[in-house]
Amino acid sequence: MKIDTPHDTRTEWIRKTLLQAAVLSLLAISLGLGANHLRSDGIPLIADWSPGARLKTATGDSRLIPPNEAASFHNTREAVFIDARSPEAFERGHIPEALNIPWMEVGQYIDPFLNDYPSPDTIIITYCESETCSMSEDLAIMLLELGYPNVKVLENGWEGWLKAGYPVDPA
Amino acid sequence: MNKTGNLLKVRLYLLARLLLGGLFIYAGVEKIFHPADFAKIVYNYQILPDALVNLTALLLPWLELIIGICLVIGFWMPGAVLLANGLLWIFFLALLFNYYRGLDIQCGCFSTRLDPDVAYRTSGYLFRETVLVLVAGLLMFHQLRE
Repeated sequence: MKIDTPHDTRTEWIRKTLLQAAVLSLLAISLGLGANHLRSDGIPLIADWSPGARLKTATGDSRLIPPNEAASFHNTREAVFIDARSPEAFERGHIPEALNIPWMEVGQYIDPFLNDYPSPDTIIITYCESETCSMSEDLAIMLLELGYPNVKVLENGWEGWLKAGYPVDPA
Repeated sequence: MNKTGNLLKVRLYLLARLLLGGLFIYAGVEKIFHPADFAKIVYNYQILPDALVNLTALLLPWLELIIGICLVIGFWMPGAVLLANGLLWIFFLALLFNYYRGLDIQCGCFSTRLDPDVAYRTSGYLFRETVLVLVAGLLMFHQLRE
């Protein structure tokens, strides 16, 4: 005759718990994949998240501007640079004369910009931390929708600018 | 153990279960309705390889919903509580990781929309996440004692 020892009950409990967790996970996988397949606004299971693909314009042109091109716009002061990072990051270092419009608080910061630069011809270059951050893209899309067609996003962001050795503030 | 102490414990346990379950359901449903927005948030965490971003965005909300339902109705509690603990720890570590990297990200915990007027910061999310991890830990402790 087999006697249930505390050790047996514990193993049994662990087995039961893991089995339940596995079944619940499988259920989530089936429902998730199934629902995505059935709905009209489903998303591809694997998507291209590279910056170039994310930033295609309607015409297929890239909105990314490489640091060297951006730097010449900076030299000639033809473009307005907008830093989409937090005020804290901006304080630590930014592109000289750049404006700070933190994407997280864009509602508070956008109005002064719209008043100061009402011309739709304004050339704007947005940037955030690095290649993979998307706040500069979000901001660029918002500015496009607000009627500034000449918006570019700095490739590799602040990190790329720093690495290339272009001027920074504070120096 | 006296009777009132026990009753209090049972009530506390029920409260923790309903609270966490409700939050999981709420968080899951919101993301199920906006898969593309949530995928973007997952991408912004900059932790997963690109190939896993959309899959995570598709499956995670359903898992949250299922765990939430289990917690609320008390079905398969050991499994659900284990998964809840696992998920909350992953969220906690992901937030912590980005906090230390100095990455200012959108949490995407309960909403896929960006609320520009609320200046949420990663530290704020971290605090909230810590509380949830503790509540889930309490449930796990209760499960282990059963």
